[in-house]
Amino acid sequence: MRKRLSLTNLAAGLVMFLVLWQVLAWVVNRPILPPPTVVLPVFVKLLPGVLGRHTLASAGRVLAATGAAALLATPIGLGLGQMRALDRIFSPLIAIVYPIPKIVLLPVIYVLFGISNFSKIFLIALILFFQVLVVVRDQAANLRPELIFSVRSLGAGRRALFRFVYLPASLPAVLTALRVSVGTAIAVLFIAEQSLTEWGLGYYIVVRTYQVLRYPEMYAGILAMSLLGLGLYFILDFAERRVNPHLYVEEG
Amino acid sequence: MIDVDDLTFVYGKHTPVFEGFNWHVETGEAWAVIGPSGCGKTTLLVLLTGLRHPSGGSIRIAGEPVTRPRPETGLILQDHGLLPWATIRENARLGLKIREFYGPDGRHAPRGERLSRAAAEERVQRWLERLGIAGLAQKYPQQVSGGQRQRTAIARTLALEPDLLLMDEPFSALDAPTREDLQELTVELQHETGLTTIIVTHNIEEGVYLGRKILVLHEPPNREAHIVENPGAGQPGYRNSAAYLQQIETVRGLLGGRA
Repeated sequence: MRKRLSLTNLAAGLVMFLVLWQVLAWVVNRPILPPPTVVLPVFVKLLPGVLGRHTLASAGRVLAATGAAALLATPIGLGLGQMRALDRIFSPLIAIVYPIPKIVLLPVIYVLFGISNFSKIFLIALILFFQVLVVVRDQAANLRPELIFSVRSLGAGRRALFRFVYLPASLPAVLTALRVSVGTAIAVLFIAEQSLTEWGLGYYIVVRTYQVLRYPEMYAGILAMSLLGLGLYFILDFAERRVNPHLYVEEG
Repeated sequence: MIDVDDLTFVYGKHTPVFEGFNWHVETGEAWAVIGPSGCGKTTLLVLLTGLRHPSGGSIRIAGEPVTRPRPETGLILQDHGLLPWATIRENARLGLKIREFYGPDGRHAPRGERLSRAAAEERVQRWLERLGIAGLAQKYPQQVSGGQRQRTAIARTLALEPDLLLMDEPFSALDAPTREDLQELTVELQHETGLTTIIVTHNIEEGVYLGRKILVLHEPPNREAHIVENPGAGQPGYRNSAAYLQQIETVRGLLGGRA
């Protein structure tokens, strides 16, 4: 059974985080680390305006990439997991490509697809694609043959197996893969947004605030990016519980 | 109901499991198939499901040659095969959902059967109640006992209202009291539904308790069907009767003498 983060725990974590931040700000006592009492009002003031627009630009890119990666990787992963012969052909390739840090391809992607939103989305989608692909493939391959056999004995052919077994078995895996890789996705987004765009939190944090020494505003941007990651994490976690309730019940 | 005529079946280049084998099952009969491991009892069952095909001869069920799985045949395996992410109720409903998914195409679902969703729900509920697991309907398989999981698998199959029920070592993974409970239940269900039942087991006691006719298989090749008439099976109190013990001895002798 998996543990659920309760609201009290969440609140306790938040309070501890803010206290730690405040204490650190006192200790360091330099402009590069303003305390939350300075940053939070700036954050609240900027969010409805310029900061909000940068956040939306970043969120849009992450969501588009997540959606594209899940929609493409799930069927391919299912296919590889179901068809051993196909998997044997492609698994060496996947094993080699999977661990390559895809961010190094950023210049290549810019050249191929131009300096556009699409390039940034493509890069993040590429990272998530392999995460989802591998997890879904393994999930589909690991379904017990007895389970498949007994569902077939109820009259299921390939289509019904897909609908009633493979899809529900892999959906949680898709969400898990996305949840554990959303941090990487946002880190890559931060790097990709630092140049060749005018909107996005990476641009805001580095170009609009850090380089002109507007530290409280920079922290407001960092806060927005953190909340973006946290929000995505919790949405995916919530969705995981919805599609996979049996992992969260007491054993009988 | 089932006509096995001149059946030959060989895996690759091995000794044939069956060679010129004949066997007939009438509608409503309760059969047990007993034999040592490797005798071909599971092979026989798999041939009856249509998932494998005879090397020679023919198998007909309800007059039709079996060329692929027929939707009217129900199958219960040792492994309950429940979906871990679905509740007991959802699992029991799975077969009917698959039928709804395909429609009555005669391949995946019997031709002409149209069941409204409400009627399907009602049928599932009826079987959950009959099998004593209605109170667990919202639980997940991992939350219930092995016996209750197997009851769910039975409910799932019976909700499809099959005309033939094939069981392959259905209770072998269960502890003794649970196994006896489910044997009892099988006898009751057979009485209530008049369903043609074939249970494959390596357990002589179980076979003698459940099979009003017993097919004894031996080391391959099986050329003729050795049949033990066992009319006492399914009668109240049979398990404690002298006749039951006598039959067990008879079957054991048949197996020991030849195996």
